Amino acid sequence: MALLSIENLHLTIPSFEGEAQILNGVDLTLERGEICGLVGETGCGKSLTGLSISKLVASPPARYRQGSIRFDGQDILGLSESAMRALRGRRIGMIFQDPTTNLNPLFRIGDQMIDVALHSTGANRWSTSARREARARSIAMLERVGIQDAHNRLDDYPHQFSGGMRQRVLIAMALIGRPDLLIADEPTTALDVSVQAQILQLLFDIVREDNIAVLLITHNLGVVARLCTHVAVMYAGRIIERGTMADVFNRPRHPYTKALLNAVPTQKTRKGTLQGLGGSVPDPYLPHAGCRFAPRCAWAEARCSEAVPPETDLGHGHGVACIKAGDLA
Amino acid sequence: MIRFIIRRLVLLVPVFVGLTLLVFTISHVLPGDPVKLAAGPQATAEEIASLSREFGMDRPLPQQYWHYATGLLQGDWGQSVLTRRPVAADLKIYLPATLELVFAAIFLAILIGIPAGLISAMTANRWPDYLTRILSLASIAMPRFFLALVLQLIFAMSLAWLPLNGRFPIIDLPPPTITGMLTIDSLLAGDWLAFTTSCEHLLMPALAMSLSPLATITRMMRASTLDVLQQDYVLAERALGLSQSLIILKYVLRNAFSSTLTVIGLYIGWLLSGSVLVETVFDWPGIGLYATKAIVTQDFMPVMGVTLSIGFIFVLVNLVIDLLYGVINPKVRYQ
Amino acid sequence: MSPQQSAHPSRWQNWQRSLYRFRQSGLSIAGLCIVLVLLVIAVAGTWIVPFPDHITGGINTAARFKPPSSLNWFGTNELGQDVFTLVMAGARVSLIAGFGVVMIAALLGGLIGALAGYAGGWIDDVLMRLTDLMLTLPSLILAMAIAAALGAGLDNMVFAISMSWWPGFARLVRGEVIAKKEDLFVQAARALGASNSRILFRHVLPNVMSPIIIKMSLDMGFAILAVAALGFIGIGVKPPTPEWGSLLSLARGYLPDYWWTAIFPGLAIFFAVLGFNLLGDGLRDLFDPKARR
Repeated sequence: MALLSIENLHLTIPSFEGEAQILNGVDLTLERGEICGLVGETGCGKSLTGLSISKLVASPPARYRQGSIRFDGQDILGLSESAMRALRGRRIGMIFQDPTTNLNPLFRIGDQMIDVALHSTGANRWSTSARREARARSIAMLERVGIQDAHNRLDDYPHQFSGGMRQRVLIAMALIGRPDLLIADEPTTALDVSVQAQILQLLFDIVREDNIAVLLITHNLGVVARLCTHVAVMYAGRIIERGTMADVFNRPRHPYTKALLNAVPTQKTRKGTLQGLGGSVPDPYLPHAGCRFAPRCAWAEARCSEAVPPETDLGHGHGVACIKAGDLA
Repeated sequence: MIRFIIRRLVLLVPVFVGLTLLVFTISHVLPGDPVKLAAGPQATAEEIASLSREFGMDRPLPQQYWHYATGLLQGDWGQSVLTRRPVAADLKIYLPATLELVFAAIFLAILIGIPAGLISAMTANRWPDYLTRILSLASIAMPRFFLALVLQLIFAMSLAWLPLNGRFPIIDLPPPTITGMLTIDSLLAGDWLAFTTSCEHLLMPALAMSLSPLATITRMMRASTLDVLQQDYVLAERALGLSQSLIILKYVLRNAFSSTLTVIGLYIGWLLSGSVLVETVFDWPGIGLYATKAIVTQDFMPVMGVTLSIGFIFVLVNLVIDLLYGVINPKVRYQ
Repeated sequence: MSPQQSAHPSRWQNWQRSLYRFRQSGLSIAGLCIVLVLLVIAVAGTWIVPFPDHITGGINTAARFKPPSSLNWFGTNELGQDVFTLVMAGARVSLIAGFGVVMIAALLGGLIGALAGYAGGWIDDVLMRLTDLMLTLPSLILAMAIAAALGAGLDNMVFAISMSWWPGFARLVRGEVIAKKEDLFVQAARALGASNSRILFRHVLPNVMSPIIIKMSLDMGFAILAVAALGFIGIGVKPPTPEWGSLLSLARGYLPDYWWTAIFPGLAIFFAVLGFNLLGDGLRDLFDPKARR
């Protein structure tokens, strides 16, 4: 049984514009030890997929119309808030994009981290020995993510840390409960390029050591290529191609995946051959039939707009949601 | 931190000088002759002139100001033309009564307003929120003096639960004066009966005065809580499993309160000035009533004294608020 | 992640959005209604009240302290005057006085703020220090002192209150002028050789009008409250002027037995202030959506 399996997940969010269809049948599985890159354009539903796994999307107003999320056999969407809390910080850790806004500026790093550490073991907040133990674990974890002089820095405020250091703190907080699954939502996008590589390497080392499954949400294909074992490509609220790194990057079958990969320059890219993708992400408010990518697709035919293409399995977990997948080898 | 306080205190000096200059100028620009009023309608020209000399009002204005300002430094706030009592002595009696009222009102407003604002934000756009919002809109529009009258009508005149007016029954023995605030003095003296008696007298006036700051604090608290709840760090705190009550009561509360703090400082000045209305209704012997009597008789030394002391207190309170802000917000503290 | 807005909202969606806004601003509509009713009463008051002669001081000693009835809706007072008539007549007094206060304060404060913001340098320093000092003084006591020194009368009272009211406008206008001064179109006007006063009056001031008007409408309720407060203390207007605050003050002596003489003038103040506050909030939301809370 997979650690995480999302099946046919549909999510809508109402507004006075109408009902926005954010997720339109997301299918995704993740095993222990896998690092899965979830890639796609801004607004395609990557972040909301990540938040859904921790059940952090306010519902209502959002509504899960169909589908399920199973984490270690438990039906996430059916769990109560208190049952969910038992998973958050203990079995599921999360890291978000901007380290400058994800730490509460009015509290010491230690305040926030010790609270998370206490929660992760379910210890009594008011017990001195539990607090001392939580503090010790926090220091150890901070040291592990490369923060020097951790037992003093625990008493510093967020604004006394650099962006990269803050992200290290956030990684430490997410991992202090030794989770089975880590959801990292664009963890390096807001950082300097030189710091990005360090943070990614750190993340990679720790999850490998602890055998943690990672869902790495990003729009940076270079990051995926360096770190991930698996890739899922998302377009307009649906995963249109997924599989191992090698399958998806070396043998992409979906026209969108091909276009995405063509839009990334590599060392072999010759001058003038880099291709952008025309058009823009479809309007989530408009009703649709058929493949959502069809309007931008160079290979589209009349039948593409008739029915939503089912996922075709091309062997060892390489799935493609395109009716022409077989022709586009 | 110490250096910050000292720097702020030094900066107060020109503010205080400016205040005395402004108040002195205003009171001398205004028409009206206090000496003539004090001397009475039958007074002769010589009597008026001698009274004028006695109070130093025949001298040129800059000299008068110098005399007044240097007097202030030595604790001499001038003398009432009418009662011939020194203003400083009067202020020492009346100011604590008003401060007691203002602090009680702000205390009530904070005590009720902060949870009310939090609850309103937590239940945003559901019925507890609507109820709180409508009540606070109504509270801001409610004139304090009218509310004071209605409270009197209900709780003193009809139900006779609370005393109609005053600070303390004349026939009872008040606690020995230490701070001049009866509730605190009676506690210091360990006189429980005097404490409950003074609280009974304090309750209605403080309630009448607290309504408007209560409503404003509630609205501010609601708005800033809603704002904080949208912040990334609240989502991050939830994502790592912290309980809703811990997030709200520990993390969100401090963030939201820091923006509400400024309003509280402004309100203390506003209440000091507006206490005259409530003092009038409840015959509360504070600086408001004292100022009213002096204003009606155009006895301007007491009026200047009251105006200046309120100005000074207002400036000091805002300094304290700034310091508190630094305690709450580490970014300010470490600058 | 917020759902992206539709690129082409249909007419149906626009209509829906207006309806959504309208529902949101139900309270401002209520405020507008209260203010409109007040305006009608203030204009037509003297003709539609049941006992017009009571406004000018006419008394009826045979009908003292009558409780509310079908003849005297709000009862009668110690002089046998109809309280309903007096309260209705008070609307005109309060509205004129309140409007006078915000008008004078806006003009004076606007002038000082515009001068400070536009001139900059030491003029700005001096004027703003003065403004800040004025803000630390107790406004109500200052207004009482000025009103008492000037003598009784509605005009003196209005002037006295506005003398403590202008600093708020001065700060607002200074901030707006400084922001607008640097805007491109002013730079352009200067490049074309426009004079200082022309730039100020033709280009800068028209552009700072909307925040001033919003503040005026927000302040109107509190100005009415300040007028009533001075009337209640007994400084400013004197009977027989049917001012709500002084009506309430007189009625204090006849509590609790003749409660109607106090309750109705008090409620009138409450509703007038509430109406203007709601309307002001609504206007601010309409013109300045960013300030919305």
